[in-house]
Amino acid sequence: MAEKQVEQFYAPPPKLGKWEAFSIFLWNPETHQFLGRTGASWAKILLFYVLFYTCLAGFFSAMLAIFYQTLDMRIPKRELDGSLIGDNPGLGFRPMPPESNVESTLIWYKGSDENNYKYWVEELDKFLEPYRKPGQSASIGQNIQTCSYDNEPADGKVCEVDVNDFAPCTEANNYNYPKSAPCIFLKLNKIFNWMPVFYNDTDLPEKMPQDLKVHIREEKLRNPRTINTVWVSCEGENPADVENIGPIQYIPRRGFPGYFFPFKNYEGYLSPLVAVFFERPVHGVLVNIECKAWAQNIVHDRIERRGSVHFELMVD
Amino acid sequence: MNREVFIDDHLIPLRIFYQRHHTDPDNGLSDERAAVLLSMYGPNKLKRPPQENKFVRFLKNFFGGFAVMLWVGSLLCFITFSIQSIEADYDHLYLGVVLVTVVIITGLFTHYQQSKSGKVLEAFQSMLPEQATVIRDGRKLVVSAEDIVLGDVVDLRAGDKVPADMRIIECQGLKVDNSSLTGESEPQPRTTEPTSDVPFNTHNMAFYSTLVVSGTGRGVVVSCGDSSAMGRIAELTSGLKSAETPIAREIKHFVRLITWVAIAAGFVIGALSLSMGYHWLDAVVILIGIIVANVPEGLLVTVTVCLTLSAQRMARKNCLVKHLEAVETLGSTSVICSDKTGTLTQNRMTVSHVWFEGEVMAVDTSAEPRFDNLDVADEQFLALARVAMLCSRAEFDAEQLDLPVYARRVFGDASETAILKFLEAALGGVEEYRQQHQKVFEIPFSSDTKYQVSVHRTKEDGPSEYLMVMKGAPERLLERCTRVMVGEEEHALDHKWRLACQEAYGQMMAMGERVLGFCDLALPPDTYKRGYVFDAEKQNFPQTGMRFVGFMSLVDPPRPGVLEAVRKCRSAGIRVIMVTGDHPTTAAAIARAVGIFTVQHSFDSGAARRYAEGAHGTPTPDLPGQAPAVARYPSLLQDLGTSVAARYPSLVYEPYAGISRQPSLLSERPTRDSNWPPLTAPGRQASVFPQQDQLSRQGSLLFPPTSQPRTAALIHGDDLRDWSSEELDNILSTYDEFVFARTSPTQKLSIVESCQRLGYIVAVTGDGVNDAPALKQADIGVAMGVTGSDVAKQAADMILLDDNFATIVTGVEEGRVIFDNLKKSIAYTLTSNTPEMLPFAVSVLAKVPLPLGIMAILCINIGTDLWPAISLAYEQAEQDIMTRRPRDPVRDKLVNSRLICIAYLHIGQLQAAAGFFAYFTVMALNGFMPCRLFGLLEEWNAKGIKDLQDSWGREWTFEARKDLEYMCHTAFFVAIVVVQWADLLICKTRKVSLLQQGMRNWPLNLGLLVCSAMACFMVYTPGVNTTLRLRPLRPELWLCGVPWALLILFYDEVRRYLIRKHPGGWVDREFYY
Repeated sequence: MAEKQVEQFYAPPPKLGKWEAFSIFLWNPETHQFLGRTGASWAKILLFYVLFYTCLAGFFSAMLAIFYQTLDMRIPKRELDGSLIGDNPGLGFRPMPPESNVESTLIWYKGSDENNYKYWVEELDKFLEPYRKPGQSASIGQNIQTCSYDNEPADGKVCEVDVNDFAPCTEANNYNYPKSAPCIFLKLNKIFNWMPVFYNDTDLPEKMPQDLKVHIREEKLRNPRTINTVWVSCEGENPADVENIGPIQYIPRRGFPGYFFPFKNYEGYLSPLVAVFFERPVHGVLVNIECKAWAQNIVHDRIERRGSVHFELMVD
Repeated sequence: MNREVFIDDHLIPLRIFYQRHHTDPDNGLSDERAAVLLSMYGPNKLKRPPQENKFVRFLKNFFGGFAVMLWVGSLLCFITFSIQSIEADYDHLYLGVVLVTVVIITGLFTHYQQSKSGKVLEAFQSMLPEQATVIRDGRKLVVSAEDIVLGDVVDLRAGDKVPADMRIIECQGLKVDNSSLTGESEPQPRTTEPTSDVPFNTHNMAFYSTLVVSGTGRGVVVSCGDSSAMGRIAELTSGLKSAETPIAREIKHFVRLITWVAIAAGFVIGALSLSMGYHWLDAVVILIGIIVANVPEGLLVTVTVCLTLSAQRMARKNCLVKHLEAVETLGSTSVICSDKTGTLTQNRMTVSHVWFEGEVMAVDTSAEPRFDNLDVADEQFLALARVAMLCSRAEFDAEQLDLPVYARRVFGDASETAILKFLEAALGGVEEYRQQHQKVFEIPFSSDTKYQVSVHRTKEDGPSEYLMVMKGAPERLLERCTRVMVGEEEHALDHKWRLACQEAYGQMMAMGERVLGFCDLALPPDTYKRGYVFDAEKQNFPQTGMRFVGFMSLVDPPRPGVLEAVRKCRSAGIRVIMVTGDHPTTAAAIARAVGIFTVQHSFDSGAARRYAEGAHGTPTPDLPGQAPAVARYPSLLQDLGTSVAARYPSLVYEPYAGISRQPSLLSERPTRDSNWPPLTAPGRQASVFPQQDQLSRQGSLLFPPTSQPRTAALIHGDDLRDWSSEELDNILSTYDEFVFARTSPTQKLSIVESCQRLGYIVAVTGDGVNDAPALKQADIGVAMGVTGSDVAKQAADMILLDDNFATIVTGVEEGRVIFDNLKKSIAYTLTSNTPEMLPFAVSVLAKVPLPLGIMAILCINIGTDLWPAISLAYEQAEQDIMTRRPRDPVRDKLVNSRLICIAYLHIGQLQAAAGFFAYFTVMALNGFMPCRLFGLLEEWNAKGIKDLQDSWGREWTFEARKDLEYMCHTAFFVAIVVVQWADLLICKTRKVSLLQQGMRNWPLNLGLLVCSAMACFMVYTPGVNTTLRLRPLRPELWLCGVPWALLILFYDEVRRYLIRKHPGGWVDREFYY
């Protein structure tokens, strides 16, 4: 079979110097090739890639579009522990340190210097913006109702959070920052359809701070329904911090009222807030503070930081 | 060119010679002097070639190729860790340790493979200590060969290995086998007289390590150990640095390419991230990611395993590979320089032609011959056989009479052995016949008389008492004959018959065969009565008037299968060049027989030389009758006068001067007359010798008219000596077919070097010590396992256990397959680099949470991708790879730009799309729609932000976000695993459709399962998944990759369809790797 075939032996190519080869690669005057391709060749290959990537992008978008058809924009596909978010809400605080220092949880300012505390005040202003003007549109306005323990929201409605209730932690007061007695707002993370299981005054856990236990019992005496509250406690982390933290006020009440739950992503929903008012923190000292939310289905996990929040406060 | 050493020890008169070496032919050296010399020069043995420091070699495995990149990566990890250590984030430390572990495991694995193949070699290196008989202080002593010193007088006997280079001072019928040193296939007679200036050619020298075949002798040692001829060759060999193997070059090129891609990508993205205001530590982390994504951590292991698998396959086919990389080298070979004796030929003399009844009959020369075409009952054949049986000293080993004829051992020289075996096989009963015809007188063969005579008693009833039989060089024999037997008749040996006889043996000799004539004479009973005493001195027997009965010619026949193998090489575009120490005629004849010469050779550098040799008597007694044979060509005589001086300028340079070799030359080449080989091809069919036609062609061959296409050249070693390297290069690039004859070891080396200078990848085969330097210099040296000398085996990269040239072709095939399959394997491995790298780029540019983590990348590169990549080594060749040209080492890279484009820009992009699709799916399922994700990176990674809101208003803590991120990594990882299934399927073939190729590669099919199982193990095993930063992915999310896998299959089928449909078309040129 190979007999009649003209064999093609390997013939080595001509040898070129490195620079010579490179300059020919750059521009070959004989073949008018630039970087090893002629103009037409470049045009063809570029056209191919333009087409290829256009088609790819098209296919990708089409696939995503088809997938998003299966999603509801209000109700999550999966809820609670079916989703990675789980059913143990985290606790958040405001104001947050600047973005340039995202890892930090330190609130550090000088009460006597307006420029120094301005950032924190503005942060809180921004945060409370939605709370201040709840009824921006008619539909949202319709949705909002004033709730109380005796007046739970109707289905599809959300409860009002009145910023005036936070006095003295108000915008007008600059949230008390200039007085070196700052307010820090706490909020419980929104988890779709999460419903707290409230403590009874009889089954309060051992770890719960004594003053909170006392407070719960007092509240219950005043209105038994207030027991339906996710309670909040803030403490210094270490004995020194306990010393330095000074007296604390929880405004407007010491917890998140149960009528705010569950969160169903109805329009206009606002998380309930607790303003923690540090009346007389020791100046010039860094205070480690841990706040916890209390409900039977909130597990506290210091490493994973669930159901609690840690921040440092330093007022100069 | 001239690296030969001048020696005159064999030329000077013996008296001066003894003085020079302070020795005495009868008493030898004194014990004291021997001891002094021994302590001065050291033992008579070869120095072991220096080995590379084992520790250095061990360390090299940890710092070559990608290892450096990984070291850099791990170093960066440690740096970032040490800077961040206040935060106690152990991720970077962990990653650094993992990277170091990868480097170390890869290094250890490579080292293990190396040392394993090294052990194969050691088995060959064990040399048995030799003994030698020396005379010292007048006493014969048996000493270890290592204790022999300069000037020792040594006795040699048949069966001994010559213990040092020595000048022969006494000998009786001494013959040595120089084949391992000079390549001469026949035992060389030794005499006490110098016959040539060149030590290798003179007959009064015996060389270290050669074997004494017959006779006895005594010699004086002139050089020993490393200064002996063999020592110098060994030194020449060890002085050569073995060049980098092509696959090593390819991998180096590939590593460089990938390193550049990684560095470029790393720095572009790193710089972008810095300019976008990321912290420099983040930029470093991104850089680490890019490095880890780009470096195919498992690739070196893959390549090693692929080569090992091939090496094992080759070992099963009798091809033992010493260095793993040599497996591929054979595949890219473009020139094979083959030794003749023992590789192309069987290294056993065999009767190949018989002349009787005025006709040349071919004899089957195969290992188990049949003689159907011979009329064994023919009267003249019987007469010829009778002479041949009687006039011989060869005998079968009496203990092996039960073995087949051709397997028996014979005591006797090579030609007599061949004749004896031929007659025993064709007729049988040689021994009985000899007993019936007792030998009464004999004159053994001598190189002076060139014949052998014996007288035998005839049977009782015969017409005469005695029969005289004679065999020898044809021209000497014909001088003594007056009659010739033709069939049953006898003719007077007149002018006409003389010419016919001359013509016949001329033909046979032109084929490089050794021709013996046979004649007999029934001695007249009246003169030579019973009891007549024959006397060699008095020559009291007839000298003339004999009856010529026929010729037999002997040849060392080509090995069966070599012709086919050479043909395969040609169709595979590989030149086969014969480089031999043997004589040009023999070499050219074998070259023709095995298909190395397919045209008449148009350039014969040695023709004039052979003519000259012939005119001044015969320099090569074992080729009797050379002079008249050449002198018979009148055309040569005429040509010589005009063209000797100007022969090669006019023949070689003029037509090609200044013309650079154009590729078009290949196509202009005329179709060859390839029907030539069957002439002496080993086979069972009878082939009648071509008569007049061939002779007339032969006559004009040597110096053809210029109009004839010149493609083949027969080059004599003595001419090579005079040429400069450029001249040799020029010759080599001018002709197509080459036979180099009478070459010395250094010349073999020069030929190999010249081929390499011309850009060829050269394989050299050889068995002898004389081949060792060339074997070492070659890109791949192939030594013979059975006949090969230790030196040759040591210098070689590969050992043929069956000594068969045809095995090399299998090796070439295997090498080409592995090159293709490595290409596929690399294409497969590289493809997943894009989906590993792009997440970093997208994360930086679009500020989305990182879609794929570094740990997941490692899981792919050294986890799921490993088995499938290796399994591609088992893939069958998709087309007949032995009909295409050898790859061009400059252009046909293992990894070329097309492969990179396909891997990174086509399939890789599709894979990346699959990964991102999975990423966006998981994110969306958990509430982060793409519009929310863009620009989210900083907040996402902010530990302080405990309540990052998703598209459904839910708020995520940092830890929950990280959980989600790892889930995304898992989804991305799983998507890559899924699309890599498709990638594996498309990488099975480079051209043909998957439907044509089929799914017969079971390791690969299994690989699909294994990599999936491995991925499941990583994703779902508690503990393992958290260690690898993976999360148990919902099973239905595996489906994310499926549409993309199908798209990849479809896309690549279309690409390959277009390549097949339009060969040379745009798609073929741009997208065929």
